[in-house]
Amino acid sequence: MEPEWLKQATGIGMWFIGFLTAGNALLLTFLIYRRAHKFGLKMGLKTEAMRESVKAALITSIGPCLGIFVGMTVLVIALGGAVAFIRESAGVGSIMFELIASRAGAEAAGVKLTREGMNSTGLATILWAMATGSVAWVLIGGVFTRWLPKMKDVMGQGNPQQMAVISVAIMLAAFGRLLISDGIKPLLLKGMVPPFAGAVVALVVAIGWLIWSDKIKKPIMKEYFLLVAIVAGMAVAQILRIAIPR
Amino acid sequence: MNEEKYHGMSPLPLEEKEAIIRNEYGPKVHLVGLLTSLGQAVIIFLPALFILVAYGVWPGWATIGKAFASTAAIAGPYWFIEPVSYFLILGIGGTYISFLAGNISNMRLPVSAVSQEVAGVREGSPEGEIIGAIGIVASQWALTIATLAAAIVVTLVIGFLPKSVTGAFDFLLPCLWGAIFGQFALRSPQYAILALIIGIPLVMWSGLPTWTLIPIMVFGLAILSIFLFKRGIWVPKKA
Repeated sequence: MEPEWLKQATGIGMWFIGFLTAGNALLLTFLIYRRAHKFGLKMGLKTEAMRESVKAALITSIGPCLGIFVGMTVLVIALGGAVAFIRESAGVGSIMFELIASRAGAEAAGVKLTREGMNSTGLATILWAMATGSVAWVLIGGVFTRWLPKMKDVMGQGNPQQMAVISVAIMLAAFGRLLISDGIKPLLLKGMVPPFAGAVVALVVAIGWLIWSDKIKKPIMKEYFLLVAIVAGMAVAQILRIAIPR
Repeated sequence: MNEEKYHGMSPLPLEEKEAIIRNEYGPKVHLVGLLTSLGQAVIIFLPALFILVAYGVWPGWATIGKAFASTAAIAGPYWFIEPVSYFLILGIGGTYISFLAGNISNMRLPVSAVSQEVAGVREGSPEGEIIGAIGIVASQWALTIATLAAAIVVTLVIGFLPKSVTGAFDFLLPCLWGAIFGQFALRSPQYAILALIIGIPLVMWSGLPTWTLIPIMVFGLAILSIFLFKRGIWVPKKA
């Protein structure tokens, strides 16, 4: 039987919000397209060139769309199709952010981010975390665009190299903490090997895949590193769970 | 050769083209971009509000605050870094769509670049602004179809998967964190080791509330990285 929280997450109301979210983004694209086309013609651009750019964009979108399709599987499994559609059609778009927000919400509500462990309060907390954690992107992109160049100077103190180092350190701190909590802590406290082994395999595969992509000079292969690493890690972890009875 | 590459450039004088962007196209796009972004800032809260109004589920300010603190500690810097970093590449129209609908580095940037290449216009030019925006518009149409298809197809298929397959998703999070950690460890192994050395005792034995751990580690390592950078320690050869 479907749990109560999943009925709430996949009900018709949530799907309606999904279409409203996607619809607002589509409205913006049509409005911008009309203006770009009109002033493009006025500027002397040819209709054919604009049509060609639409075609090229659609073809270029196929690869990323496939990646998004596969990545969304995770979100659909965790929170249901409607929430995944809301967040991916016109949300932040990053599966990584959505999972971080989901995990933060689940942790704050004291539930697990699994279908069995979730409840209505956990779902609500996750939805609040997703909204509050991503609204700033929309507001900064939508309202403060004209002041953006000045902000850049303040944050990096005019030094792009310093900015790059800070960014990497921040990401390693954040993901290091999550890796320790979900991969290392279960091993050290409860002797659970599969999550640790899965995390290590994913880490090694990710590094190997990225180095290999550079070596064969095919940077486009990097688009798939996360997918390959996660699948390899999950497969190893699941095999170990079946093979090592607790 | 350049003339051939940039075959789509308009013969109008540059000043005239820039005036069209500045005085006609720009203000109109700013207006629709602002209005739809404000609308999206409200829509983004509807799922949570729907659960509250329709089912009466309210986690409480304290719980939401904890979840927000953990999320913001990671995403917060990127609220500023991303718009700042991408604005000059995406242009006016592209920025509004990209920050309303996401998927910037994996989709909008390559689409914008390819569209301009195919149309034969120069990046950063008034023509590039128009063509880049059109390309990003088309990418959103493709994205909407793909996400709707994924939501429906995966929902239908998941019921038919055996437990041994769906059970593997219990390990999704540790594998995801491991892979991303590996990605950044490749760029700075020293900070990766440091994050683990500081993080393991902090997470395991500090006794601090779990929601405080990400902000502590993020801001701790950020301050340390600035300190070390200014002393020339662990500075990468190329940024």
